[in-house]
Amino acid sequence: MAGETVEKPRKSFLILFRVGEYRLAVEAFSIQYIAGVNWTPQVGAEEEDHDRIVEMAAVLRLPPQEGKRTIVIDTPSGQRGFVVDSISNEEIILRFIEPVPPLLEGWIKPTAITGFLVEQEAVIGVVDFHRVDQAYFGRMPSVRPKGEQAR
Amino acid sequence: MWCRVRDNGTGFFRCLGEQGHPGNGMRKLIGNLSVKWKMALATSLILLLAVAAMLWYFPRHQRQALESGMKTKVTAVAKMISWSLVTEMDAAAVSMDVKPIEEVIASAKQDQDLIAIRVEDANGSRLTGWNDEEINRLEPSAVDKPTQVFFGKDTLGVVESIAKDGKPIGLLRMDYSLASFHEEDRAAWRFGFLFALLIFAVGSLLAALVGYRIVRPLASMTSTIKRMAGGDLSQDPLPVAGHDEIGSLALAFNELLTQMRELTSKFNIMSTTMDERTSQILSTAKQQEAGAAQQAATVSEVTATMEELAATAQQIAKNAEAVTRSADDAANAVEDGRDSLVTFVQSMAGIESGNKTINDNIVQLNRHVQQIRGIIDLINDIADRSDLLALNAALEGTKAGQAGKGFLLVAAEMRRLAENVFSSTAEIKQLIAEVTEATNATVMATESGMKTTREGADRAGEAEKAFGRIIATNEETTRASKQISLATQQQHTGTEQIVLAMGEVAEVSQKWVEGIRDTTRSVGELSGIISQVKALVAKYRISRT
Amino acid sequence: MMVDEQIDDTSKTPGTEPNRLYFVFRDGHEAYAVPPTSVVEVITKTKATPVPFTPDWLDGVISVRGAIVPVLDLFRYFRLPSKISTRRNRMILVGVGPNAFAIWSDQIVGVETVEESRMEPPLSNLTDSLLKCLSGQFRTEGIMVYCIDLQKLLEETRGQVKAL
Repeated sequence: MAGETVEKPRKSFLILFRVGEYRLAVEAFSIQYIAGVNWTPQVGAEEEDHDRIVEMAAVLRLPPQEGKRTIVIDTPSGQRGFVVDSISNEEIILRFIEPVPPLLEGWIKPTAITGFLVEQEAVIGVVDFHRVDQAYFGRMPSVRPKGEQAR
Repeated sequence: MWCRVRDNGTGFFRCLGEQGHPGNGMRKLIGNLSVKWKMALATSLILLLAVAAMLWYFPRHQRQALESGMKTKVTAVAKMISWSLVTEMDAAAVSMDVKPIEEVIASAKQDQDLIAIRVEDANGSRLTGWNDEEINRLEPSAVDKPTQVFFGKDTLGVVESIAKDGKPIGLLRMDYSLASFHEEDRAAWRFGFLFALLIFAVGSLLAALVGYRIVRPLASMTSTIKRMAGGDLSQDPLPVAGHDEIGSLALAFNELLTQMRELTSKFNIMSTTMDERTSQILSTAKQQEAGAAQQAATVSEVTATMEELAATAQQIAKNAEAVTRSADDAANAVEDGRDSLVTFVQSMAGIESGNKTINDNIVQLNRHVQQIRGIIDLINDIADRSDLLALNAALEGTKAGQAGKGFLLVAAEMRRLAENVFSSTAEIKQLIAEVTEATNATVMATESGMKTTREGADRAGEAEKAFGRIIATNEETTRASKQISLATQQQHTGTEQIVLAMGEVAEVSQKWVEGIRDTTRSVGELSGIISQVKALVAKYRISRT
Repeated sequence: MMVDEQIDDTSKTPGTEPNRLYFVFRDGHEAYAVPPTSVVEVITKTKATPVPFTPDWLDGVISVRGAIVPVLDLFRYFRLPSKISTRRNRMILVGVGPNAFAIWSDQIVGVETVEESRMEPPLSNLTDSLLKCLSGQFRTEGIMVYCIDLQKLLEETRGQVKAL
């Protein structure tokens, strides 16, 4: 299920995660499950595995991180796993999501942030992985086998 | 030849004859006449026939009567005169005196109709006469034969033999005027004619009257029915005069009018009611259809979600099983580790008692430590996987809403256990570090070495306790993951049941929607029929407004 | 966010020669000036939460009384050659129509009345992006102050993002 842009503040179950310096969140209902770092997608024999596993660090133009968790979503073309550093506290929290201000919306490209969660002093962006998938499909920065140098 | 009939809208049936057929014009003409004229015509014809017959018969009869009357009179007079003349004739023949004869015929002249008279002798020569230049020249008949009477145009000719003792001695000729005769004849004709005319007039009048009496109610009925057909049911009933067929017809017609009014008003009420009902039904059906469609949509949503849940639950169950297996492995490994530890302690004791060399013991010790490290890594891995399992269980719990609350609880529990494991393993690592440090410091079997090994033994004892905790935690973990397995299995069955139930609901819903569609269709048809009826009935006004 | 006049301007004198008021603040070596009516408030914050998929001059977002406000780094936006400030400790919250955003600053100079005659033509060594948003410049206390047309700035940012 794809996420929906927040029009007015609404409550949702969220999973907080980290990629490098970014603290981000994703709505629980929009993902399939969370796997470890050795996740393999359920694909046909012809498909390449590396098309299905995506390093969020690469997507966010960060140096390679020590990803420990893979967030798996279900897309029309099959599963896709996004490798993130960690799942904060390994827990799911119930919070209000605030809508993205129109001015800021114009500055986010691709529009993969659907809302914000205000947690103490931090403003955590809620990522829609389906939009990330749509925006980067075909031009997906593929996973580098372990041991290779950073870009 | 039959007429082709067609109602051209005026209520009359027109005879459309075939082209060129003789007599059709007449038929058309007659056909279009009103009944009373037809009756009058028929009666007139009959009367005319009667009158004609009468006219033919009556005067004729009268004339014959007159004729025979005259004939008788004339014959009688002729005979009388001829008898009277018998004696006179002899005298006349002798004395040539015609005066007595003249006296006789003078009496005959009293009849004003006599216009000529002549007496002839036996030879046919004139003895005497009056006005007899043009008198008739009829041939006399034999003596005993009747008087010859001849009806001419204007005169009646009589010739009578004057016979004495059976021998003709003379001839009497008389001419009577037929003027009065004709006069009477004509009078008779006039009378007859007038009478006939009278009969004709009265008869026709009567016929017309009767016809009118019949036709008038019919005509008014016709116009009433026409108005009825046009839609006006508000008219007065027809007057019922008498109990004859006309009266019965009027009565029957009035009944019909009443019935039609009742029927029409019933129709109106019925059609209005039905209209309301059908629109009610239609709207209800539409609502129901919408509701059913919504329900169907919701059902398929729920079914889809349930199927997703079922699939993921299966996955979790598998993972839980895997964790259980790993936990069992870990338990075994821990047992081995414990054995190693015991051996280690014994080794330490052995060192104290000095049965073995320290170096041997250290080598053994290192091996044990390696084992323990391996076990700890395994336990960490399990703890990590349990963490993940707990997280995903919680994830499913958020998706399942109410149903997943149990998941959340178990997940929280598992997370707590995992944390315990992590802290325990951290502890163990710490202990091992210290043990290693301690044993590395042990180089010689000196008193200080003894002391250090004792310290190590203490540490080992603590490590054992930690192991015990791990085992207990592990057991709990196993139990918890088994619970999750069970819960997911139950959920799976429950989900399956829900999916089945949803399928049934979907089927029922589908049938319901079909039923509603059928109803809607039938109601639509019914509505159409009602509209038609309404349109028909709308033509008829019942009240005079 | 509605624009409130939070900064009370006491140096405004009606009926004098045409001059403009400016709210002047510093960010490292640079100084900027904006119309005081645009300034909502000055916030003491040192950090913004970075947001992915945004240009580098968008430092991140902050929460101001529950509202989410983007933080612009004008230094990065204008691609200025000097060094970035390390003492940034406050943000100028500005409003342009219905939009609100914050600009990094490390020192508030204050409100200045600037006569027409003080305005100088733009120097040739200014970057393109700065030139496009410059409505004038003047000196005060020895530093060059760039008058920023905030409306123009927002228009330009949209164009930049589209080109990404």
